[in-house]
Amino acid sequence: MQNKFYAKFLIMIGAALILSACANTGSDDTPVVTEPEVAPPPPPPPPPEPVVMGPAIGSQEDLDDELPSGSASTVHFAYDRYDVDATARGILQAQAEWLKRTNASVIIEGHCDERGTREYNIALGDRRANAVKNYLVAMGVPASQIRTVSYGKERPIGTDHAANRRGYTRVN
Amino acid sequence: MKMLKILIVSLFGFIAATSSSHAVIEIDITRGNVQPLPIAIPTFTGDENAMTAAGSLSEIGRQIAQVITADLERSGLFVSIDPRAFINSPNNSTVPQFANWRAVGAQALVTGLVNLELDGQISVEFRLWDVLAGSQMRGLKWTGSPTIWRKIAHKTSDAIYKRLTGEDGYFDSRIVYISESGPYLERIKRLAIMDQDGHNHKFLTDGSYMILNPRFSPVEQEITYLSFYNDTPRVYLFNLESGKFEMLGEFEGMTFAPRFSPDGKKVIMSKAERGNSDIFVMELATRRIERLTTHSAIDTSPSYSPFGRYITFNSDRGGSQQLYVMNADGSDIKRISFGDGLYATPVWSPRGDLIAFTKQAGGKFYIGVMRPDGTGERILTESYFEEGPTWSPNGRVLMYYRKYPYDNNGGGGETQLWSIDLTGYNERQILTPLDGSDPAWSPLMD
Amino acid sequence: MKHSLVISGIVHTGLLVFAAMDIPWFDSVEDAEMIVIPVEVLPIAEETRTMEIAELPDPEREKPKPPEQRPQRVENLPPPPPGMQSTMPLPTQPVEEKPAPKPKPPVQRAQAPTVTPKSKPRPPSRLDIAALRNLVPEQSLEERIAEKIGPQEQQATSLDVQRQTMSISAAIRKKIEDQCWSPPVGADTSQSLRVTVQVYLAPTGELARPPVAEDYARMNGFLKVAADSALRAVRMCAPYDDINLPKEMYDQWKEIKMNFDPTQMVS
Repeated sequence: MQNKFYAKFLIMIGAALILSACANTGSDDTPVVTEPEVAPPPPPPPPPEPVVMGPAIGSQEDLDDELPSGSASTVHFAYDRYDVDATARGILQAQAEWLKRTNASVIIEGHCDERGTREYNIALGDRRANAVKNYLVAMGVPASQIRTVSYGKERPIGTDHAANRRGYTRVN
Repeated sequence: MKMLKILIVSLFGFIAATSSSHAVIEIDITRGNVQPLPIAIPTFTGDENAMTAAGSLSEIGRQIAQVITADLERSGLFVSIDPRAFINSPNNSTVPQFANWRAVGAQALVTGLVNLELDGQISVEFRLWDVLAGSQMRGLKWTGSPTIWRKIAHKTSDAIYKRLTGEDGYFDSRIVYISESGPYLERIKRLAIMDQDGHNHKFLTDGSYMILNPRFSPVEQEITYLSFYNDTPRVYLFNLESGKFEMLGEFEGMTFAPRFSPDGKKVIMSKAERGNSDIFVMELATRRIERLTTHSAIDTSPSYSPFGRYITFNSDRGGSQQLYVMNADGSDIKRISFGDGLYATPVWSPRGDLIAFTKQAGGKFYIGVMRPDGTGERILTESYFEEGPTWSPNGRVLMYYRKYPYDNNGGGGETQLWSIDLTGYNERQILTPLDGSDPAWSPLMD
Repeated sequence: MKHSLVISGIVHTGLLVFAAMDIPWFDSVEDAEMIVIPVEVLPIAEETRTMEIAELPDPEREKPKPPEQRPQRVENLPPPPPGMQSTMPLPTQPVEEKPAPKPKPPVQRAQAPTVTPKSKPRPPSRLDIAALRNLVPEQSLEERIAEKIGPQEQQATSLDVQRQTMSISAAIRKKIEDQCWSPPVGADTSQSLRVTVQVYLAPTGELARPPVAEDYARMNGFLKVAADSALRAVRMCAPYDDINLPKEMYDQWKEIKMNFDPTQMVS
């Protein structure tokens, strides 16, 4: 119940962020959409109702929520490895079901920790992204739904090496 | 009679032989103390009333002497004498009073003169003197626009360096590198260029997309690098003269780790197909691409030997990252690294006699060199993280970048450019306006 | 339910706006891509002319240096020789080489082969500088005695001469290696950098004339640099008056051949 409400709230914030991001990247001489059109004065928060309403079907949040425990978007790898272990397989099975259900197209990002050279890690990230893709395709997801990209060690999510060695399925 | 004659002759011969045998002492000198050469570089003389776009001639002369001093000192092979110790200031048109320069400990002396030519250009002449022998070792005169006095100074440093070390200099050269800024979760990585001494710094991209691993063409004012423009990692070519750049070929898979061939006509790189990276070479004129390796392992970081006959690269085909050498057509692949740990980013020296590399062992990273056959491995420097050596145009100095660990307060993680002499001495930081990584040395400029 | 419709509406509007802005956004990046700061490349080859400048004639050149004295500040430089103000290439003028000082009359020549017999055997020459330093006064004392006594009374053996020259060699070698020679340690080890230098000493231990590196005129590159370093070392170490150079043996040490070889230093 409460989760769903938070989810709605998150979507609102998400939409606002998207808009503001657009505003930032828009060129300076094109004025941004005027405020009244975008956001009418927010209505007072409604009393919680028993609404069954999750994140938009096929959104990143929708994929994240696919598994009850943890994010279904991310799998992790061992140091200098790209094989999909048992934990990762569980996550990818959920991803595969979701992809087949939603027909969403995704970009799989391959990432590495910083304990290696840039060029090798670019190659290793590509291997990881493709390992994820291959598993999903083997589970019946059409390859046309999936793109891959390697960021090597250039896009960490923190300072923990193990957390940075990951494949992230980004909803396009 | 005849016998007597022979006897006398042989007797004389004997005497001559014995007397000459003790006339000369012969001494073998096989050891010494390697010391930086003490050199005095007084201000180049110039008329303080003669003005140019770059200031008065005397100001230009003062700055030229400073740039030369800084260049030579940074090499670690020279130590400059503090100008405050100078006994007299030289006049470039007279022979220096060598005793005075010897008295302040100088073994070499550079004198120079800046003149204004009729066409508004400046001429800079310098003389390099052997203080102990009291003779001129080198004399050159440059003519050019006053605004390129800095370049003239670097060229003078190169000429002095060459005469005193026997090696070509590297002072009239540039560094292209990745300027890094921002917190580690939103690190901005953009292309930047500067003179070898950090001057004339410029950003070449605006940071809206990530650039990595730039490399200079050995012959053209061109750079090749990996760009994440449009979120699609591909190898690009950037022309410094026109400011234009272009993607090198449209491929389904990612291209990365580019490097020019010695003649600048080809770019060798890695291309990934379905998660497998192999080495390819592209002819720039035709954009024809040719596969050189076919292996399920990662093959990357290729680098040509100076005459383009061989290629060294990094592969984990043996189970771990090691260095390999093959013929330029991809045949005869041989592993050359056999030490403990992992080896990566091999780069062939411009002299051809060494390959520099990044090594990873025991939780540390190292920059080292080995011969192309894998023998003679020598580690030059080590730290928490460092990688990506690039050679100075003369093959004497290596530059690389170092990254510091993150601390518990969310700080740390800085990246810096460093350089070290091939002898393992004279390690020093190359200062950049922001953080820096992935340095690549240009060839010596014309 | 109504609220969720409102939310849905906002989200969809947001996505539509995003989609609409999407295309121009990429366009603007495309434009930004082209705004690249061109680097000024200076074709110095065209803009600059380079010329070799000839040597200044130097009347002082090659004159044996007087013993180093505390140099005094020179206020007025001698006026430059006429024609020296020109920045045009200076004509190469033959260097007026002052004749080297005439070798001293060989007064001691007769004594040369004779050395004092030693009251005790000389220790073999070692590279221990302390030991060598200790030798010096002792030895000169012996020689002073020898001079007083005169050579006619004592006959030197060739073995003694050999011993003496060996200790001279060792002392000179020690001085040059410890104090004066900075070997060229270029990273290039592919060629031999062995250089032979002829050193001419005056009886005082100063350089009688400039040292000469064999084949210097034909040298270039690393070898020339190696020869320069050897010549600098010989000059740096002069005068050699701190080494005991027995006068009566001047003939033995007035010319010294020094072989400089940095091979051991490089690796």
